[in-house]
Amino acid sequence: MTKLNQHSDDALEQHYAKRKRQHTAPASIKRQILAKQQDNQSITYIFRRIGYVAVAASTLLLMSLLLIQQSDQVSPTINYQIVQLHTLDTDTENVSDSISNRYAKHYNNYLAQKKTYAAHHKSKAVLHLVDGNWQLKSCDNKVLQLSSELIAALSNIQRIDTQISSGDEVIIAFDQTGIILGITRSGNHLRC
Amino acid sequence: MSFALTLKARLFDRTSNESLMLRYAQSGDRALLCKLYDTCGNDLFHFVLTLSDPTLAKDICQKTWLKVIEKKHLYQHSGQFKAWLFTLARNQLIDEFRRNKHNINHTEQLIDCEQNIEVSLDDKNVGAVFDHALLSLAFEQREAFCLQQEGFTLQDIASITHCPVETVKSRLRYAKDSMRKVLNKHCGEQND
Repeated sequence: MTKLNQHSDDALEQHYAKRKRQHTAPASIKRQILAKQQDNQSITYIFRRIGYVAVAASTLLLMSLLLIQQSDQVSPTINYQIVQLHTLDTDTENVSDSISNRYAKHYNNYLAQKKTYAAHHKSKAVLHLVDGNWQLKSCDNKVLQLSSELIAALSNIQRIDTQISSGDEVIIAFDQTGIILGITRSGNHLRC
Repeated sequence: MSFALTLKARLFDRTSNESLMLRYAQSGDRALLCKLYDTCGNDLFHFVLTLSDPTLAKDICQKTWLKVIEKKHLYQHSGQFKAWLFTLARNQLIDEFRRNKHNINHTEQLIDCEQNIEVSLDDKNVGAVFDHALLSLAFEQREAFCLQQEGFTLQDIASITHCPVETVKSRLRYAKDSMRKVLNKHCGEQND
């Protein structure tokens, strides 16, 4: 841009600015715009208030509908069972004492069962079939006659080996009172 | 130093037209609209007045500001507020011209102006000569010149007037040449 053009552009700018100062916007435009803005704001405010009221009313309506629905629901008839108490447990032991006692009791039972099982596990004998009856002959020449009921009972609880035959060496399990708990075939030969 | 600059930038940003418009779009606060009008009201009126006549300019300005009130939610933060405002006004003006089948170079006004200029030239009124030079420009050249004087960049002008940047450059060159010729012809000594 030449210096002359620059000077000319500056002159144009000055003339334009001067013209602009002479032609300002009428005050009525601003008045009308601000009045319209006020109306607009009022309408917005009213609509906002209506919105709030509508939300509050619908919430109340919803809540009342829910309450009505709940109250309309038929409550199931409760059949009370009458229990007559004749005695009351006066034992005032608490829950932990009760649990401790039960645990001790069960542990003692377990130890007793273990002791029983260990004590009678070692009895060995030879199985013989004599006149249709099963007999067990131990090393100390004791002969135990097995009734058919006992064999059937042991078979039911699967505590007798079904594969054993006459002449087999077996292990007999007894309980504390001497009752036979199970008969299984022994892998080893009986040595008395 | 940098803190001061940041603070200054923030304060400046808060009082910028864009910030005011964004806050107005969110709150609808009347005071913010008032500030925006005080900043841009006269610029807009002068721009529209230069492209039309006082009655139409007043009407278009009112409609434009009402559009700002009603369509405030459509304002994009990325854009310059003044450019958005001038685009709205220009579109309104073009619509008005189309509706009334108005000749945008309105020759009647030029004839009036021509008569006035003869009177003014006797008084060596440079302002009147400048008015004559400005109003005798083609509509497109006049609007391009006005927009440049309002501080818009070539890109902004192209965006507001919906035409390529090269076309804007060409219009501005013709406008300035034409105005220089008129000014030099009627009051060469004063213009220099």
